[in-house]
Amino acid sequence: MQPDVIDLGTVLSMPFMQNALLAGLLASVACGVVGTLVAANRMLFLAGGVAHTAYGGVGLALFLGLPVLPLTLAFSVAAALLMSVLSLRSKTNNEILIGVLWAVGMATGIVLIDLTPGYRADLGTYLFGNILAVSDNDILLMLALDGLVLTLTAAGFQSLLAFTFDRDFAASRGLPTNFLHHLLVVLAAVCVVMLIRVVGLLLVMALFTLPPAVAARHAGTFRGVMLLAVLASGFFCVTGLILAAIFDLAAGAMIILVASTVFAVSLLWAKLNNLRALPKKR
Amino acid sequence: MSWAVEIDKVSFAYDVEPVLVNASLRVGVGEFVGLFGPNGGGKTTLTRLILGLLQPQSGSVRIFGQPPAGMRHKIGYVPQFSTASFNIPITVFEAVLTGQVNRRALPLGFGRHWSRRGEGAGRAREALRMVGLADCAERQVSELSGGQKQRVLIARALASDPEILLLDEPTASIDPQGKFCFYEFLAGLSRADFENAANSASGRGPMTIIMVSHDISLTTGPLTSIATVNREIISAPGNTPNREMLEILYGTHPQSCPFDHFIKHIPHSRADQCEECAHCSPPSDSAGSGREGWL
Repeated sequence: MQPDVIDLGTVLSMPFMQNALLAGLLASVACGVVGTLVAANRMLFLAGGVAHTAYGGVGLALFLGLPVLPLTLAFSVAAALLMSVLSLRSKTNNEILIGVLWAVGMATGIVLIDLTPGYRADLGTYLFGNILAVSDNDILLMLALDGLVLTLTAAGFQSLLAFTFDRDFAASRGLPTNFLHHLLVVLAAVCVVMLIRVVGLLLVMALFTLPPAVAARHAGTFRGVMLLAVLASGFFCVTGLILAAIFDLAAGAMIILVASTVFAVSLLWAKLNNLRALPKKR
Repeated sequence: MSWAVEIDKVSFAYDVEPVLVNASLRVGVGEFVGLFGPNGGGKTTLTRLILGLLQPQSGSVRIFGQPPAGMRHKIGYVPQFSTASFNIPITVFEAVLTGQVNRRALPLGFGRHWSRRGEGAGRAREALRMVGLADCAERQVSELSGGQKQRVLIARALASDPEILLLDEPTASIDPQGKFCFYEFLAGLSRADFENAANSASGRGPMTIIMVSHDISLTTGPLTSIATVNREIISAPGNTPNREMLEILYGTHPQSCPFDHFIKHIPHSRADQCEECAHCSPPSDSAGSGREGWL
């Protein structure tokens, strides 16, 4: 007996499910593009710091009784800029500073939620995502953020490519490398906010790393990896959400499990192909 | 002689400890200069001053008589091998195209710097041909050997059609046998550019090459002059280091050390003013001349 299992048709007809799927796809567009850049620039720790500090913004929004996503966006962008500036200062151990902000952001969020009168929702809503909570306004905000991310990365693509390949050289040609560094961290903050509803703050890192990691194995150009990462991320989100609804499991976690399974299979496949390509021993 | 690079009494410190003190160097158009020095001696700082990425605290840097910030488009920079991310998904051709990046496109780096079919792409292909990688254009940079990757970085610098080629430790990834070929290859670039310039009557002088290295085994070869950097700069024409340079590069050694014996037998550049040199070795007519292959 499996009372919790629902069939696919019922799942897709649920009104909240359409918004959830749309949110997953919209977040995938930004994450595939920005995740590829963040991973290639080895800024994952910085992105992790930004993702967790965003919780401070969630706490602040709930405490003040303001819309969560817009306020978290403003908070995250400000925190991202602070971390980005600190990360470029070579004299200090910047990883320690980022780690401190990472923790302080989360702690502030938790305390603010504790102080919020009458608030009883559990933290899991924002830490692990809550597809039931995607409102039409959230969708509009995500659409606008996708537009922003795509416009900026398309307009700056050649500079970002030169910067990613070799920062020192890009600086020698007069490119504003500090600005590009800050831009990437801010774009990461934008992605974090888009992913809060879908996978939640704690699982953001997975969607920054897994789609580009899968894509990089199958595309030869930077543009190709970005496109494939968007498609992979969209596939992970849709599959994960549907499986989560059918089996009544946590959506964010299911998305990550689907993504990591695909990644593991693609690694194994490559290994098997390598073994087959080896000359046979006599 | 017209100067490609003039460094005049430059002092620079990141913190309190000075990296360069009163350092001066002049590089004529078409010269091939080797800039040697111990690690931490200020070589990379000097390249950053030439590129205008750092400002001297005193003294001045001029590129073709102008402040460096406005002359970046004339310099093809080949940074240290380790600065590039060779493992990102990028083709050889794309990597070379990034050499055409400049800030003139639009503010803040937005806008296009090159197109795959335009004039810039032609220059990128020409640069790949010059470094012998024309057949590798569509391969992934990550698949290349260390020496080939180094040549990608040089092609990238050449893709902007520079008048000065500035290389920072270009042989770090090349094995000892390859270094001599590499050296001749650089000198060949200089000559090829000169011939092109003469033919096209573009009015441009030959390419000036400044190569920074801690590896003095390179000083046999077609250098037109060498200099050593260790807080200050000592320069001399010719391709052989004089005794002050060797002392900077290898330090002073106790008398029991064979290297001390070796160094003592090389006269100071101004041997006529040095008592010690008068005793131990005959003064040479000019420093650096006539001692081909000193190692």
